[in-house]
Amino acid sequence: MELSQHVAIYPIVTLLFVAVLIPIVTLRKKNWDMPLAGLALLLSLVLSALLVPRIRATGYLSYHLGSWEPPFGIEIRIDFLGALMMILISAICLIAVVYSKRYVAPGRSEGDKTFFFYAEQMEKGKRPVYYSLFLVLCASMLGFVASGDIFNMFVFLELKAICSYALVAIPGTRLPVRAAIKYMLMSVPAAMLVLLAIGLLYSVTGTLNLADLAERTASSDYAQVVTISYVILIVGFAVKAAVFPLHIWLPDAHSKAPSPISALLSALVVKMGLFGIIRVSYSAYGTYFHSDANFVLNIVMWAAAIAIVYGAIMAIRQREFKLMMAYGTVMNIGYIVLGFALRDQTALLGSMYHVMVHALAKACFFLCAGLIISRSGYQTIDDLKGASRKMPLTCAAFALASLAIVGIPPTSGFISKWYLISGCLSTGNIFMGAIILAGSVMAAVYCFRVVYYMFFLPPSNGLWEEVTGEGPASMVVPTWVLAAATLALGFVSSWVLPPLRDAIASLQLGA
Amino acid sequence: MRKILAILFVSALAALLIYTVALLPPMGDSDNPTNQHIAPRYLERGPEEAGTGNIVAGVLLNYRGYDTMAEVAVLSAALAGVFAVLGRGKKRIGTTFIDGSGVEFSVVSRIAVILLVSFIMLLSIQVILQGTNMPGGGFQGGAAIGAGVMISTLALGFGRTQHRVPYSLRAILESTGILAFFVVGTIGVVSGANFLTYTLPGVSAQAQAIVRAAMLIIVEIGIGVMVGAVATSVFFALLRDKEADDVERAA
Amino acid sequence: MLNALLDNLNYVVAMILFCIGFYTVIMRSNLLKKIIGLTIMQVAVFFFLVSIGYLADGEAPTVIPGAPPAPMVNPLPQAMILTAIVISVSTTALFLSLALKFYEHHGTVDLDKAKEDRQ
Repeated sequence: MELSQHVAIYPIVTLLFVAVLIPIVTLRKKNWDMPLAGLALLLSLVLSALLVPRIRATGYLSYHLGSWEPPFGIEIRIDFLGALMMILISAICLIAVVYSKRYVAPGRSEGDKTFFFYAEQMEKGKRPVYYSLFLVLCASMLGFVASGDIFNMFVFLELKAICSYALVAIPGTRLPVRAAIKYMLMSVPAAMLVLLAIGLLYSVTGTLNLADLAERTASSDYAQVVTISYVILIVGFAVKAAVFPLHIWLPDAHSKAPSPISALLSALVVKMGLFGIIRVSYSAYGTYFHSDANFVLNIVMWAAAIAIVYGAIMAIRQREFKLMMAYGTVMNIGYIVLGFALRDQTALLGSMYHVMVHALAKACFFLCAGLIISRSGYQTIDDLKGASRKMPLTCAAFALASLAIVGIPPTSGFISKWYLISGCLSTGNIFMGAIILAGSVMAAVYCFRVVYYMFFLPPSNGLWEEVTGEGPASMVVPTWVLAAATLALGFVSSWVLPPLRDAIASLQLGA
Repeated sequence: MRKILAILFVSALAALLIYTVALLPPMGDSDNPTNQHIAPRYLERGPEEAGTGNIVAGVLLNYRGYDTMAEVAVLSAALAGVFAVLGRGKKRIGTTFIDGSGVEFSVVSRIAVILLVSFIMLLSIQVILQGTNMPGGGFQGGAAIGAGVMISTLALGFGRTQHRVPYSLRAILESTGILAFFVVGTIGVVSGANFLTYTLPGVSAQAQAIVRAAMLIIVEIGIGVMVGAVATSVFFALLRDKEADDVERAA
Repeated sequence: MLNALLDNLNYVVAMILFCIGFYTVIMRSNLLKKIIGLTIMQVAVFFFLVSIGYLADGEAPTVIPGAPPAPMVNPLPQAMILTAIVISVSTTALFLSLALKFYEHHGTVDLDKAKEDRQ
């Protein structure tokens, strides 16, 4: 059907449209902001899901905006990997929005102890702004993964960045504002580095389209400039992706943001930096990446290895559980970058699958954290002792998600680590394989310690007595949907992995 | 110590960048890769294909209109971000001036500013509407509108200016940018082509040029109005009155 | 080598500006000065991009009816930096509002002083 190709663009455009409608609608109907946001995200999820059959048939979807043939116009290019990411983004954003309904609602009156009004809350005047930013964030990520033009990717990268700075700072108290400032201080120069690299690349190739760039960098007379622009581009994206040692902004930003936002940040926003690196390496810099990039990729590989170990050690040392989860993200990003740096198909498959696993599981972690904080106000791991007596559903969801993050068979986390280790062994990097295993052991330490505290220890004196029970259904159900999805991913892997493997193979061939 | 490390690092970065830049093709050379591939087509066929005399506007609105739409979204997001951090600047108490005093400017200054702002608004409208054929465009004109509002606020006080652009009006105006893109783009889809193609279904070929010009102007106006509204709103939000917002928050 | 540098003088100046801005962002502890440093970096990159599009003896890329046809400068980098300027202005606006909020919390815009006061 002719109309169906437009599903490539309409998720993004509709989300932006509804995002600017929300401030107008809330002038009259103050409570329509969340339903509008939820509907828009549901629509984009449905449209993204519709992409999959089309892409299975033809390999990729190429949409020419303005009907200009590339490279004269901007091209949207979605392969199976891109479509999968779009579905993941829409789904997690939808779940987080539903969760946000009660999380960002103003606290009840003084006498009501059922909903603890913690500093992560914000003034009710900011609610429509929260949902607008939410939708624009989702639109920017969809636009980023769908784009086939490098400058277009930059614009969406900056759009995503602005939304995430604002959402980290939205509580308005001291710590989130400081965390947002730190985030901006590292991220904005990184964006400038990306733009600089795009300028260098343009000056020696004359085009901005990724497929066109792939041809032109292969036969360019300016190979050194191409190399240097690649390094600068990777450094810029690495800051956004929080690859060690450029991860410094992440722990504060992810732990001080409101919990649904922390979930989005750790699950999706940092993955955009990673996706940018991978997309650019396999298309615009394809030839260089496959043949000459050994030195650079070696450094990246070692940085990833250090990220795994450092992230795990820091996670174990933390006292606050949101900080622990943030360092866990640093560690898992190490896994994904390691798989990429090995330049092996199996390892890259493991990486991409891990992107999905970690997104679902870490989002579930942060939503559990939000439930605990909003019901009890406790933020440290020690206070979690005995939590399962009052909040069994939340703690069970956390336990399930941690199975996946650690990589216990037969969960999806085990599958992704299996592929990563196979990739390491087949390229001869036995030490890296050992690091991945060690990382899993350390992840088990910090995850299962929390589970042990929650289920097998009595509450400390005086704590948890005033907590009346689980959170509202609109918060618990999304959390459980994520936990279930994490498990389900392990069961449907036989359905997801083959097309993913094909998509990665086609990446290698330089599509 | 930290200073020495920083200087070393920055010098190394400078050396690397200058080295890279020396390797680039010479500036201004017509044999450069940049002047070969895409640019000649834009320059030669731009006016007839894209429908603008100003080729940069043609690139911005037509060839790479999707980037411009994303850019407008960035502006909206930044505005939302400023609101998220500072509040929405809805109310203001009295006719307070920037310096907090209640002292008015003299009659001469006020009349001069009113005249000046009138001309500024006229100029910005001209810049927006002529943006497709002369240097100018929606962004430039919108910035000028914002400047006009800022001058009148500075000279005439909040009380007189802010109620003329209340929050509800600003919210509607800020949506016109994305709205214009959405509507124009969907018209393109309805007429059978891809998103953001400037055609209309069922129109003869001769009239297509007029249709295209009209749609371009709609988008320009949308961008101009939106940029002006965003600049105004950010200005009002940055000049927020902390006590007024505390009163609002308690409400 | 020196010839190449002199040919591309615009680029060299842009890179030096970039590094000056970068140094300001790292070394100055005052938040507003950091923002100024970021602005300098952004301007440097825009200057670089625009210079890439330059054509020797080229005219502005606008077709004026009645004017003789002349070689025109590359319009694509100009469109790119128009977009990038708007993005950088938006980022600066957000950053300034964060600085304002920081000032309201801590009474100073200086990051080091705020850290001392916290101690």
